[in-house]
Amino acid sequence: MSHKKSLLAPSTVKSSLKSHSYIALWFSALLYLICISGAIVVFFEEFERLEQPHIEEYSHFPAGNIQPAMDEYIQRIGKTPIASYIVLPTEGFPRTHITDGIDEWYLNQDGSFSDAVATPWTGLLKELHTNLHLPHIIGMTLVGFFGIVLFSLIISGVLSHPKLFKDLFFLRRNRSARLKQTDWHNRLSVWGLPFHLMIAITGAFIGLSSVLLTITALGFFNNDTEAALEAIYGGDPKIQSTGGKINYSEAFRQLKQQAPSAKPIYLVVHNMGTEKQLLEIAATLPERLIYSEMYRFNDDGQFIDKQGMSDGPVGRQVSYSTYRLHFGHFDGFWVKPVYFVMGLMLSLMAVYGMNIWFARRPHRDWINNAWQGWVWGIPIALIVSAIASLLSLNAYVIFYLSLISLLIINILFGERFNSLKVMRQLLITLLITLVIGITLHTGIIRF
Amino acid sequence: MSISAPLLISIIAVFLWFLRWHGYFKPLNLKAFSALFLLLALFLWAQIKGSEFGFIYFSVSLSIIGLLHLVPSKHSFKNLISSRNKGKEITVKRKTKREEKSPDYQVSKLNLINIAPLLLKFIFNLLMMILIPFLTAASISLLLPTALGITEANTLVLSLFVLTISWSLLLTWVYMKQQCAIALALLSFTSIISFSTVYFATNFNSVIDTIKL
Repeated sequence: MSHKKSLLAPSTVKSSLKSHSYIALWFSALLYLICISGAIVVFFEEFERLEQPHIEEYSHFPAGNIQPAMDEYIQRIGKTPIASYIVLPTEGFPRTHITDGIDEWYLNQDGSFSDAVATPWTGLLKELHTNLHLPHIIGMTLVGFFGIVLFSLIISGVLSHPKLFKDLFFLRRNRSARLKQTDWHNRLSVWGLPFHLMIAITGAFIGLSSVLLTITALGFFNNDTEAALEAIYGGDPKIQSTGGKINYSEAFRQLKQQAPSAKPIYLVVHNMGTEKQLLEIAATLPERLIYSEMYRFNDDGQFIDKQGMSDGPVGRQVSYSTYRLHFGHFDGFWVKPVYFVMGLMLSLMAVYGMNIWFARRPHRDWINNAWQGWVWGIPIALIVSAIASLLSLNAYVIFYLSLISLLIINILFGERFNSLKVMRQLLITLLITLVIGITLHTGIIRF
Repeated sequence: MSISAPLLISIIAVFLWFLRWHGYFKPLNLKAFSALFLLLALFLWAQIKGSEFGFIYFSVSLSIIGLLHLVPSKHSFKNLISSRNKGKEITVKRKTKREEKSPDYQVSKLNLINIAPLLLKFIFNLLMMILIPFLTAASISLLLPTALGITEANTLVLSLFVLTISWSLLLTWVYMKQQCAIALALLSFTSIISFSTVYFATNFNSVIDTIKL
């Protein structure tokens, strides 16, 4: 009988498993929240359209309507913002909106103003995933740290399962609940391994960008964050503007000349009306993962230069590609359902992982019920808040009220009824209610 | 010679040593490695002679070797762990017997007064386990642009990815250790050396160049 020597020593496997368990026990509850919200938020553009279904949709916003829209925007907010954005229609989101980062309106194709952008539920979902509803920098850093945690769990998970790839399709469906959970946990983890790795690294990079930038600025740029940012992403050109009206039509004509395959996604006017006025048009390039290339123009619409996101240093291209890669916003709509499924797999892995730990415990107590309340409570609370949002109620308040109520009910009374069955039925009922609600809200669902 | 280069070498040396110390890099001869490391330290000191940094570097190198000799070896760790595990097994067996009699669902009686200091200790430990690997990873990531003396997009982005990945690896590694305190102490030590390197390199490079001239 021959024994193949394993690549990893048994002690390494054991300590990796220990590391995997400890890290997972500490962090899996929040990791699950981030993963499941991330899986759902992939469809944020579709949700935003559903929340305001009566906004005019079109594929082209004429350049001639930009200046009047900018003028009206300044009039409406009563000041000239430092940066004014017009987000142009795309295939995924065929609407135009104007904003300075605070006040935001949709624009009709003729340049007139439509409703103010009001997507409370999608906002709730996006903020839940990006910063856990905490102050922006703190929340984003925390979520970024969970990218580190996920990466760490992947490493320790791979190291603690020497037969992970050998048992690629090994599922013991007729065995105990713990073994079934273990098999599902291991199979889901290995099937989605490249995706999970990518999500962990890009998520950590995006989430920790502020911290990373601070460290770089402290180390090499005398604490000047702007200088660090410029070193990575490139700086603005030195310009001397008259601060007069910008010739947008000429700028778009020149863009077509410079980069015929570029698809503009938004434009931004910096320091409008001052001698530092600058027009930037962000455009996606075919078969590129970079978020956009930035083309810069002067007041006359003459092309100045581009930022070099697409052909600058490799480091710049790589760092600017992390966004689309993490969001699943590339190629076409088909990527989104794939990301959704993979995101659900990641969430399920967290759930199965914790369930293994629960199954190993010799007894049940309130922690079991709290976990059940958390796992089922998050999707239920999201659905309840979506229904509440359709009824013009505060989505944030309803979300937290539902989640906390479900947690308390599960902790206090989880043992007195079949909590799992009730939660599952509640989820299905609410999902059906939501679908009916959306159908009524939109009239006809347009995609 | 860029003064950050010798310290980068010493950090790599510490990691190599540390891997060997934990039994991961067995072909490495510890005695030969110590001798080479000391020779390298002497050579580099001679190269940067005339500056305070040379002395600091040599002292740091000596303290690395000293520390690694003082800290118990992998074997004594193993003995310690196995003896502890034996004790644990007995406890677990007894616990299982007791738990067999216990009901399926246990109503927890939480005493908030007792649990508060315990919770604080847990949170403190958790923060240490997160922050020390982070500081070490940050210090290591800063070494790269320092050693190369380049702060343009490619090096900076690479260093940011180094931070991200090394933080994850160190976090995993710290949790893998039975003796977390020693692992954290060594990581702290590494980060102090790395941060000192970056500090000296960014602040004293010009001074050394002036002295050499």
